[in-house]
Amino acid sequence: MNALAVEERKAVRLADIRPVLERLAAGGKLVAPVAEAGGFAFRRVGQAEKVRLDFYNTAESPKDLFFPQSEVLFSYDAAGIAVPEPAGEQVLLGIRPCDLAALPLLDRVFGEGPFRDPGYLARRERTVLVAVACDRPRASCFCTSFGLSPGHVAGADMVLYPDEGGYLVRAQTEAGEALMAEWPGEAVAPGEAEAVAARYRSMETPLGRRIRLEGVAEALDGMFDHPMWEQIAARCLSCGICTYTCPTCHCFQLTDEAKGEAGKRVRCWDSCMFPEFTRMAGGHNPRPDKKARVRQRFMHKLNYFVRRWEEYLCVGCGRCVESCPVGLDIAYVIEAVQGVTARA
Amino acid sequence: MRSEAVRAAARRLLEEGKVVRFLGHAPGFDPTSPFPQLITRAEEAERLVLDHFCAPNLAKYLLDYETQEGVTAVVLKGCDALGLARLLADHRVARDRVWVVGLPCPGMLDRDKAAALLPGVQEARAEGDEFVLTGAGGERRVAAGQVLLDRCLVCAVPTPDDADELLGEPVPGRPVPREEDAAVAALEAMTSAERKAYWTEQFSRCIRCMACRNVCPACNCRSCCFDSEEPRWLSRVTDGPAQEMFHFVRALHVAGRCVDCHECERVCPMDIPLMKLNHKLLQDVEELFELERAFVPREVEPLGIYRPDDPEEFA
Amino acid sequence: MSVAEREPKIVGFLCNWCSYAGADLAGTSRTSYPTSVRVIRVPCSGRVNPQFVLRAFQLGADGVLVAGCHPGDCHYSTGNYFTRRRFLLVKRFLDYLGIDQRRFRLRWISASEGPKFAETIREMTEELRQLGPRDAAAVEAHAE
Ligand code: SF4
Ligand code: SF4
Ligand code: SF4
Ligand code: SF4
Ligand code: SF4
Ligand code: FES
Repeated sequence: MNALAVEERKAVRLADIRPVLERLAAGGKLVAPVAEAGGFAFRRVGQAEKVRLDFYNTAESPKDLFFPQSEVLFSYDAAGIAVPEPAGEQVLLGIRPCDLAALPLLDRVFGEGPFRDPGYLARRERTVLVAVACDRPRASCFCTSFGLSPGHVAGADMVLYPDEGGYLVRAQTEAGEALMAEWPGEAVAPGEAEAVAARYRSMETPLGRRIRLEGVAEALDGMFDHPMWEQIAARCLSCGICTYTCPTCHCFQLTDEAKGEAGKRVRCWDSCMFPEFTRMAGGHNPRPDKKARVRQRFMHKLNYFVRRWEEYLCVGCGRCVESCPVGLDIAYVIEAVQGVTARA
Repeated sequence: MRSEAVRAAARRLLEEGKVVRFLGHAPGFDPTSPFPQLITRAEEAERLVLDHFCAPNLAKYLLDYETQEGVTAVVLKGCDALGLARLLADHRVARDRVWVVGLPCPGMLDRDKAAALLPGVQEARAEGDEFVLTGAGGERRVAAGQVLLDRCLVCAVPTPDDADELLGEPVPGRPVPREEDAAVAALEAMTSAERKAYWTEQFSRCIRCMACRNVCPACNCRSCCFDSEEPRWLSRVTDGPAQEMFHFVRALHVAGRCVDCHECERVCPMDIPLMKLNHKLLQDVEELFELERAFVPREVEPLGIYRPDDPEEFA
Repeated sequence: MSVAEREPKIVGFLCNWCSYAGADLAGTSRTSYPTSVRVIRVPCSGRVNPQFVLRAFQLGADGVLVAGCHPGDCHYSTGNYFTRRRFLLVKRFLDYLGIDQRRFRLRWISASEGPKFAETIREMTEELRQLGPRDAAAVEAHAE
């Protein structure tokens, strides 16, 4: 959606956000963070009271809203083939800067080049993004290592900046402005809003202070056969936690579920950490061990993707740092690579 | 806690050539989550730690060295040793290829509980029935019951009974009533429809990352039904029926074989209450088949055997 | 016909050597029993993987019956002893997951027990009628 120039962006101050949440929830299109066992999750919400804007980042990223864990691509029976209706409109409230920055990366994969994904693009198109500037970075957050920040909100239609006990709300696109049109709140001058935004942009993150990316992609060019991989991979459980919770991972597999004359083709998430990911018909597996699989994940994120798109396939959201049960996260590997270069 | 002792043991075993690799723990980014560390040279022993946050069970990694030469040394707590016993009973690991460095376990702390009690906690030491937490936020003394992992609160076997060497004096088990039983009882008190709703909600949050299976010492099959493409026992689609099937099958496959180590629940990124499934089955196995401590692996597993006078409910 | 009135659906896993023959006998003796059961013949009651039972429920069964030879009479000597152990657990576990255990039955029915087979189906159908269809129960649970 077309971004508005900074001086055109309308902003209001809301001491109490509840009336706005109620309005959004009543529309039936709201997806927002709610509290769940052990943490928070983005869920479709019907009641404003459920929305928890005081959340820290969710265990799962919101990528599922654009690239669902399982998606029926088409179904068929004797009468013919049916393609599901594209998703309806939704308002995603509370997306944080890291997850927001992951969307353009997914856009490259699903939305550029000769093969574009209509389902993904429809969901992107029909989602209004209301970001929240990050007032609660966790100890595991390092978006700043990737040139992002708790105030990096490019791509959002509207942004909520927690400020002075309430929220400063700023529209960034026409869609955001339209959503905001009937909201209460006292208007704020562009300069004042920009000052609040700038404050968030200059915030550091706890782990971001430590993780340095300089030279990592280049160093990895020559590290495919480095003995480091063997030792760090030894502890991997070959599970899907890191890739499934990651906002940028995008691998999938296609499955046909057939019964008699009817069936459907479904696309489901897959993970390079699963041994079966590369197993071919006939049984040969070109990535036969944990070393090869762990190396693939980090090479893809820190080297191959950079070579292809000139961007890292990681936004520093810290989910693998939080959730990998054995501490084999990307921050650890970046430091390990830096350690190898320092010794060389 | 025992970091020096574990380093010394690793150094000695590797230097003497008694083992070719040593599995222990090393400090993570966050000192409250050490990770499993493999070392193969005595000089690397410096990396190891053994403190009150070493929750990960290392037994399952022994499967990785099944076809490799040499003896593997592994640090095991009491609960972890039950995991090894499981692998031995299932003939997945040969005892003479493992050197068990046993830790008589004073209890491991739950990092979330610790962080809630003292934000920014970095270290913990035991003092009697209390733990002293230290970190950026200062120091705080807390009762063991407030901060131990759930599994440690009810640990019956803190000292491995099959160790080749012990890092310290054996410690007694805590004979407290099993609190988990209350969680099972609470579910049993609900109506069928309420239970259905409860589990549907829980299972819907599962992302099928398979971490629970992969960490589990009882889930040690060479090829798991969930990975089979042909026949495809379980759809990859994460809809209600498939989620229910996954949890039903996983729990039943470890019924009577689960060693009650809680690792599945600890690694689950979505906090699915897997132990409420495992404990229900554990209780029923004990009650129906008149077994005590069914979580201790035995020669033949309870569902691999029968008694002609088993309860008859089906006449 | 409204959902509540429809005949319950029972999936019956019958062992080849005893219970299937028993059901056959009920048929050849012209014993009448409700048409609610769909029979799946298995080599032994021990062949019934608990997964089959849950799958039957998921695909719309209101009740599931597993039937085999009487203990001691299994064609494979001991298969049904294992069946008994397994389903003592599974019955309770299904219930724990919210599938009322009255919807599941395991019965020992020999080749000569045609009437027992018919009686089992009658009883089960009656009980399931009272419990109501399972999908409705599920819908109710959802609404809560
Ligand atoms: S790196 Fe961690 S989260 Fe990823 S597969 Fe390995 S154990 Fe699982
Ligand atoms: S890291 Fe693995 S799962 Fe993630 S996008 Fe790359 S290949 Fe796919
Ligand atoms: S670890 Fe948790 S989320 Fe992952 S498959 Fe197991 S129950 Fe599901
Ligand atoms: S099911 Fe869970 S508690 Fe039981 S042995 Fe496996 S990991 Fe441990
Ligand atoms: S789920 Fe079942 S088949 Fe898979 S590893 Fe566990 S016990 Fe084996
Ligand atoms: S053959 Fe009938 S139960 Fe085994």
